[in-house]
Amino acid sequence: MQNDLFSLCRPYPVVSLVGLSKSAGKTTVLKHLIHAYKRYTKSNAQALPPLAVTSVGQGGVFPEIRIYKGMYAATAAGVLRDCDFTRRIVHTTGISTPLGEVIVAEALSDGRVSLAGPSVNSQLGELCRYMRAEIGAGQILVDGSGDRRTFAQASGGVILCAGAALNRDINAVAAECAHICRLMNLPLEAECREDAVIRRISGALTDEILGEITDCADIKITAVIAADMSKIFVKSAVLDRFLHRGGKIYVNKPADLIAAALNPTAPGLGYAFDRAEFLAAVRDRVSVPVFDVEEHETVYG
Amino acid sequence: MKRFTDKQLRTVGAAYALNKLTPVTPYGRDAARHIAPFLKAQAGALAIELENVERAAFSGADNSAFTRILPKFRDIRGSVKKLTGEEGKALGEVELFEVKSFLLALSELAEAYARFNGSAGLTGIGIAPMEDALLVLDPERTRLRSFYVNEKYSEKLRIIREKKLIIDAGLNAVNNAETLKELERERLKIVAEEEEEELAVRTALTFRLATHKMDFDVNIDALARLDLTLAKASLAREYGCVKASITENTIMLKDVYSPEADAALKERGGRVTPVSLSLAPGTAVLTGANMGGKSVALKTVALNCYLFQCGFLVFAAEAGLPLFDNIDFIFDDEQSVYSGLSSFGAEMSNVNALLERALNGFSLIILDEPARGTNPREGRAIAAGLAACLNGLSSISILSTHYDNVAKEEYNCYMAAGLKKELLAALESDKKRLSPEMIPGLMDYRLIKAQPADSVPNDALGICKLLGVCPSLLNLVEKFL
Repeated sequence: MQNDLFSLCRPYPVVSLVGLSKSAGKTTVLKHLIHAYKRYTKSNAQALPPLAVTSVGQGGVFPEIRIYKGMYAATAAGVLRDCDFTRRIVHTTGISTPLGEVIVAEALSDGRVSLAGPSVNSQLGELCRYMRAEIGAGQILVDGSGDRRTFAQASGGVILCAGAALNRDINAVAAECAHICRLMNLPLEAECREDAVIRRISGALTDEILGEITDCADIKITAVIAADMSKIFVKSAVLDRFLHRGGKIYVNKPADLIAAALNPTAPGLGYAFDRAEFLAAVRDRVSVPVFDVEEHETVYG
Repeated sequence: MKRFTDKQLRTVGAAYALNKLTPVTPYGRDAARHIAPFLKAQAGALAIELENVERAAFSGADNSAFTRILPKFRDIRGSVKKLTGEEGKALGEVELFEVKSFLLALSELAEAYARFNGSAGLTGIGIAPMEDALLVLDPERTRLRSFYVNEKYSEKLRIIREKKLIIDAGLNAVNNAETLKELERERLKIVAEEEEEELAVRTALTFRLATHKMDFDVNIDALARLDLTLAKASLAREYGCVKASITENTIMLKDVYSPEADAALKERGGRVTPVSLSLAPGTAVLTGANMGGKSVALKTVALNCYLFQCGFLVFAAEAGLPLFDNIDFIFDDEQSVYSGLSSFGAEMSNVNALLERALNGFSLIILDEPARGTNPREGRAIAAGLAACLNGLSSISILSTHYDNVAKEEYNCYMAAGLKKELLAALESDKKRLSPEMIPGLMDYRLIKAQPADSVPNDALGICKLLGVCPSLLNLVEKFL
């Protein structure tokens, strides 16, 4: 992974990492970004505002990473005890998780941290606002869950992580990447044509609902508006059918996709993709920069 | 006096008023959950509480600082409980952080409270800053809210951390796998040492904090009272409540109302009609039309007497109230059929119990249409008998009734003014269509002093017309009158 990913992320106050499956490489990307931040601060006289890290909706498996002196971590009190960086407690958030309240701590030394942040996305916003405003965090890296619902609500840039573990078929993984990228690039409601026949979806847009809308003989609905991409659960084929009939899908809230990061290995599953082939397959189908997570594996941690 | 049960609170509209209380701290919220009436023997304490609430509400003292400071308090009672001074107990780093935050907020609050109290003059609530305890957790006097196990506490810790930094620097610089492994091993050792020394420091800090345990407890108590007093005051300001003077054994209420009834009427575009009444030991009889506001008036009296005794200003223009040993009431809508008794049976056994209480203390007894659920001949006799019986007690009783001849010269008689007959007659002669929605406009909900002779108004047929009861039925009814 080149340093470009770090540069691409720099404009975003919050960067969320979301994975399409297990072993998608989220943690590797997180480590890379932390390390890149550290290297950048070392080689630039002008200090960057502090970096903060947290996670959301992990449900039991918490990424373990190394953070550096001067950084901040927001994690549950129950796992903070087992972290080995010397720390200053700066805030108790009132956000409770099965492992205790989420605590914000400043690292007074380097060390290992398990990230057990808020359980649900809705609490993440408050936490990020606090870290930005009160701590002056320049950027917050959020290790998101594999759950699609995390995607768009992340209120910042998103790095989509996809790994070979999703499917043995390299094209299937690339197609899924492309589909998610397409959902993240849906136009905003404001761009909707005035003469469109609109159906507003307040909850989830599922295959069934979109299928019905597509096949509806009485009225030809030409525009479907959903809250954001986290509410859209349609398969590629169903979406294609709707689009081919002249339909369009709009969202209220944009999702900002920064890049896609790929993990060609599938740990524990006994196979791996060819690195170059995987990169090429995804690059062919998506419009954002695509990186290989393993190119920077030498990072300590 | 006992606290009302949840059901009783709901019946008289006290639950509504209590829900309007919004204390800010966990301590104040706890105190609000446990609000209970002052006992008769605690009249002095009640007087202070009422005075405090009135001053906090209406003295004009600037209370804006509390809005900023009070939300900073979090519940540290669990940590304070651990401050036993026993060997080997250590608060965790997060607990120490919370305690420090508490102490910083306490300093701020003490200062703001002193300023506020310069003009408000509350008594009996003292917030004392705990600078000595704060110094334990803030040895460098930075007054920053953050907390860490400072090297200032332990030279050993300082040395350990210095080594840790050196190892970390090595880990970041070295590329040789062998050396890395070696450094990792060393780091594990030093981290364990650091943890051990931090524990020793936390234990020592906890021990030092324990000497201040009493101050924590006292301040938390005062904080709860202050928060609750301010919440009561803001409720009083919102509704323009007044402080009732404490009387020996009489009730005087001028323009009293129930905020819940008012809110319900407001939704339909109306306002509640305040009522006024004066009661002394003995029986008061309240008569009046159906839907004329008798029950609401009775509940309003119970509500305000109860809240007064819980240290609230009352929803009235002026009030003088006594402290009761019991407030007992029976309303038709709160009776339940239980233990195999009919509603009549349940009512009578409740009456029995409240009479017993009234023999042993000073009660407020409110009976809404007693004995309405049985035959009118005996029902009337029971109501009349009850009125006579209650009149012989030193308690204050009010009963409402539709029965003739229950009211007597020796009782205090009130009547809900009832239908404005001229208005109704005018509507009828204009051949206007009558409808139930017209009732509030045609009804005079005030209570007026009455004579026993004119005490039972005959408004039932008028109400029937307004409710749209079929005319052929009404014609038949009139034949039987």
